[in-house]
Amino acid sequence: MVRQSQAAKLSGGRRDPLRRRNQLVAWGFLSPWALGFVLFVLGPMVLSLVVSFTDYPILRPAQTRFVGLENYETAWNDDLLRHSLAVTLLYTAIAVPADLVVGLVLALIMNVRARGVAVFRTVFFLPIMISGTGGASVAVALLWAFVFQPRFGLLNAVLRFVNLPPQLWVASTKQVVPSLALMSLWSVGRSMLVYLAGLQALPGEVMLAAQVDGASSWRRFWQITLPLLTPMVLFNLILGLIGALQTFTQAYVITQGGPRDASLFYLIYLYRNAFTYLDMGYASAMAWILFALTLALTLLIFRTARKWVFYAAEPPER
Amino acid sequence: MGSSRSSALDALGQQIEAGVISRRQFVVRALALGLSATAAGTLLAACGGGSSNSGGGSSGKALTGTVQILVGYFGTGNQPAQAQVQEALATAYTQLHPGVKIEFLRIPSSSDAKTKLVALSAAGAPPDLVMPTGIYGTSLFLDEEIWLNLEDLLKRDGLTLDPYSPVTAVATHQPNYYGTSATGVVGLPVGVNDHALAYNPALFAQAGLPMPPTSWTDASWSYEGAFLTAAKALTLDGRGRHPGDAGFEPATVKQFGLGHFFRETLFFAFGGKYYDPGTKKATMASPGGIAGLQFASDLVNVHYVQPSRTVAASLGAGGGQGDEEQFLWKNGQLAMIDMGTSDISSYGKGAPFDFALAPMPAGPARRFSFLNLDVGCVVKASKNTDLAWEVLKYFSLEPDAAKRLAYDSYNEIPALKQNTDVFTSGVRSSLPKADPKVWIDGFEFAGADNEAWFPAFAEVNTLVGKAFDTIVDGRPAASVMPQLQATAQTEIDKWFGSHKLPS
Repeated sequence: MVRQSQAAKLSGGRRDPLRRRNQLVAWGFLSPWALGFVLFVLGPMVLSLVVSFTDYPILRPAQTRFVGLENYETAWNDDLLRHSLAVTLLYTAIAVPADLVVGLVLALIMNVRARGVAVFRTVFFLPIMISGTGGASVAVALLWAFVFQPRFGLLNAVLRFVNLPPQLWVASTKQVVPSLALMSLWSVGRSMLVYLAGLQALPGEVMLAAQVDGASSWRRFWQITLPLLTPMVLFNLILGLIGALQTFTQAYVITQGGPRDASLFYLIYLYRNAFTYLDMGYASAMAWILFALTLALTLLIFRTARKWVFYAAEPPER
Repeated sequence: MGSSRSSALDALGQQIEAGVISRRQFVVRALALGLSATAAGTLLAACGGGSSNSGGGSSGKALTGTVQILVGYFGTGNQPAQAQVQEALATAYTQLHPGVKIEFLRIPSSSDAKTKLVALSAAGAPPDLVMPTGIYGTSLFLDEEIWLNLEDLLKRDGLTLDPYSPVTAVATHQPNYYGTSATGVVGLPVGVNDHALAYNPALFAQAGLPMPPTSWTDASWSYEGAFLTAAKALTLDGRGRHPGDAGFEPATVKQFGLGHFFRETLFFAFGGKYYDPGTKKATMASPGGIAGLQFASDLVNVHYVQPSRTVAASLGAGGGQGDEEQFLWKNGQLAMIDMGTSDISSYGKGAPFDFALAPMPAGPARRFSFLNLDVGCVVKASKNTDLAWEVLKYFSLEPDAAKRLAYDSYNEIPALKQNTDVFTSGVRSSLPKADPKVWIDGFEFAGADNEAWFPAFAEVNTLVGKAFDTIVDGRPAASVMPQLQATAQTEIDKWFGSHKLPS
């Protein structure tokens, strides 16, 4: 309260014409985005929430009827939905930690002061430029379909080269999810870049002091570098989690949910309900269930983050 | 001046007689040549214009406007060479009807085309025509009333489906939806991807087997008889032993008797049926259906004459997208395959041997092959249905255009009876050992049973696909099929709870 009145005093009060003009200018600059957000994000979200309580046959909209929580009840009893959720969570459990670890390792390697390292940083980041949201565009997915090809694919060529048996990869019900998780490393450059920024912002004097005190490289990494990087880990974790839960393109292009529904990701099943069965009400309910799940997991991570994320200004909670 | 006008009028007369210009265009052009309206009308009557079957504007209205055609929806047509033919036909039509513009909305994958069709329709801006559309594609949205029933337009223009091969006409009626009186018409037939059994004659000769027959009525060519015997004799493991031989090793099979063969074919040939419209019941678990699926499973898991999905993936080159077996066929590792006419460009050409054709073997209940008919459909919500209808008639009924579209563009047997020769002569010139007559004769045994609409079509087909997968993976058909029938019935009952059949 005191702060607010001080701020008001400093700015000359609400009627300050300069302040008003600044606000108008700010809103002027913001309005294209704000308008776009309302029209293309918030509006459809609200609409989909409404639709989730209806039976909405999209091609016969006149026959739309309110069904209350029926779609959510159906979802609760839908075995295939549970299966698709399990597939998605399995993928998330593999892909997100892999991205965190590989991204960090790459960032540590790319953080060395060596000639030509900028070229490698660029090379590792380049795949991001042709990846869509969620880490895969159609072009990338098609490329990986050939990488996974059992007879002539690149991965099996490597395995044969080192005398290991070739695998079925995405053609196997057991290997398809790990294979797609492996593919997700295509966009590891994104997390690498975030870590790299964190590494370059580390306080040099702290590292130097530890070195002078005789701390080994491993100890310096484990007790100084990693704790100081935890905000970046949190950032990558949240982004990775949200992206993994929304996995669609790679499975849609490469496997269409197969073989035998082994890669039936949540969004593939949602899409199938929306555009194959034209059950938009149920698909909308599924979208809101995913939103709730994503929100819950994100809040959970934020809550636990107090225990493991270290911000330089304050020590981690004990 | 007088003679040039006379020759121009002669040319107009010929055009209206040939049905390449509409009555309206005739009158407009005749007036432009300085004829009075009465004289133009008299000349028109003398030329007999107006009875055109071929998109000549038989409704008598001026043909102006734009027709948008969605290509890629559960059919074919987006390869560059295919598109070129379609564009040429569109140009030809525009030359005949300068007021008409034809646009193609090309979507490369059928699932994306489906999404596009739904989204555009929901947004109130649907395409006017969707073609080619397989019967399966028409079935997906038939109960969503997305397609215009062409029955009234056919009647209005005094047309029938008689010019088409009868089996194609039957498939357009969708009797489970429109009713068994066979009056509804979901689309005009264009081409047929008819199926037959292709085989590698060299492998038959090496195995000392007689070549399969070419007649569809040869009773000796049956699944459980000569076909299975041949498939076993044509299957070889790493040491050259056949299934049934002592020491045969299924894991080392290097040559299979059969591949690229569909379990649905066996399901129907053994007497299976998805749905009974009379009782409104799912009927997958009939004894014939169970026997057919079990036979399909046994070919893979008991007789080892057909590669499993995973074996095909590991041996093939398709990347898990279903075309693995094309590699095996061309590599001489498959002796027999199911080959539709639209497979000619993929499986048929580029193989280092000349394949030959046999009919599909007879099952205990019937002889069956996929019809795979492609039709052109008018979208009901189109704001331009009359014009779309005129364009569709041109593409489907005008003999030259229909021939080029069906054969040159879609690589199919033209549905117009008078056009089947183009397919016969085309195959004879390009595939020396494949007798096109086998494909043509197969019409009589072909059906759209696997594609014809029934309630909850998309949902039940998903269930059917999964259940069939499970059986071919090794689970007994006798336990899977009753379960499938029960779940399918639930979906069908649900459909009747929210939909009605057209009266």
